[in-house]
Amino acid sequence: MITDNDFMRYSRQILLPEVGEQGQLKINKASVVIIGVGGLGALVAHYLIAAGVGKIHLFDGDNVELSNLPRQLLFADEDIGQNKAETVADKLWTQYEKCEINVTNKHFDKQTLQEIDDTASVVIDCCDNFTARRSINQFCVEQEIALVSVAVANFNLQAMVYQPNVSGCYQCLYPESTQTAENCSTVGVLGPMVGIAASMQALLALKQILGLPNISGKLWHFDGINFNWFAAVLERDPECPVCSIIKCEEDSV
Amino acid sequence: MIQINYNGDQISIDKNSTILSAIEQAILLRDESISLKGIAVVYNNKVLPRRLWTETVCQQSDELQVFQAVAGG
Repeated sequence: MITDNDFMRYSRQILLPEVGEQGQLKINKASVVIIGVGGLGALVAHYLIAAGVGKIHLFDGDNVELSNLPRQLLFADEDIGQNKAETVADKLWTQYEKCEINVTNKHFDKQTLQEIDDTASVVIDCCDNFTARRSINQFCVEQEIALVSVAVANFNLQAMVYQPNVSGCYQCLYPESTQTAENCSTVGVLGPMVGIAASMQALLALKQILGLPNISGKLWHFDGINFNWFAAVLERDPECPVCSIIKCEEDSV
Repeated sequence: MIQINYNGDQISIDKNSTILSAIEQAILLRDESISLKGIAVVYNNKVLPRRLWTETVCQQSDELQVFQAVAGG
């Protein structure tokens, strides 16, 4: 049951026929993992905790730097040198005490991977390199957890959702032979590009939690210079070393 | 020569070009500096796995979208 106070707090969400009281309860019970708590992760965490997500696990080994401040809006000058995951957890917990926030303040690797709650509703990939993104993807495929993967650099934004046994995975999109990827520290970025990407990622995560139709099987690309959106079909690559061993629903039809 | 649509522009490329060759021709024509190691390719609205870039041959009026892979967060 939703309390009277929560009913008022989340009333604009509950008002949506796609959410309602049952949907709000799903959000409240959801457990979410966010890997990378920089530009994307801090904003996604803020949106999800504010929406009522009950449990969030933040992973990040990086410390706040001066060059983060124009786009990583939760951080201020006095946070420079502090661990990002811990800082975000402290700030958001002060504002939203009901959420259980767990922190892993280490760089993402196979050891920290073991700390991921394998009953999580969704894993949200907000990190900044291919190696970690591929490992996260492999974990989600193996554990059959939905993955919301969004990346941004310069004026390029790419978004996809992996739903277990339904769609192509991140490795189908970027196999090992794709060796270089741009990130914000190599090619730069404007804050609002990160904001658009994070808002989309939070929306995709909420849709996943609510069980609403999602964008799995598509790669969305946004070009912020020409303001072009396009979606490309992202099929499972039958030779993908990560997801090809998993039987797709479409195969059994 | 055949005409294809490359990132929204019509360009002419050699007949029987593979996807990889088409991209190389387009990069030369457009004087772009893109590393082939760091791109994704959408061929007629589908993501084309990298291993098929040398196996797939472009046809007249095909659409190619090529963009830089990004991993920033």
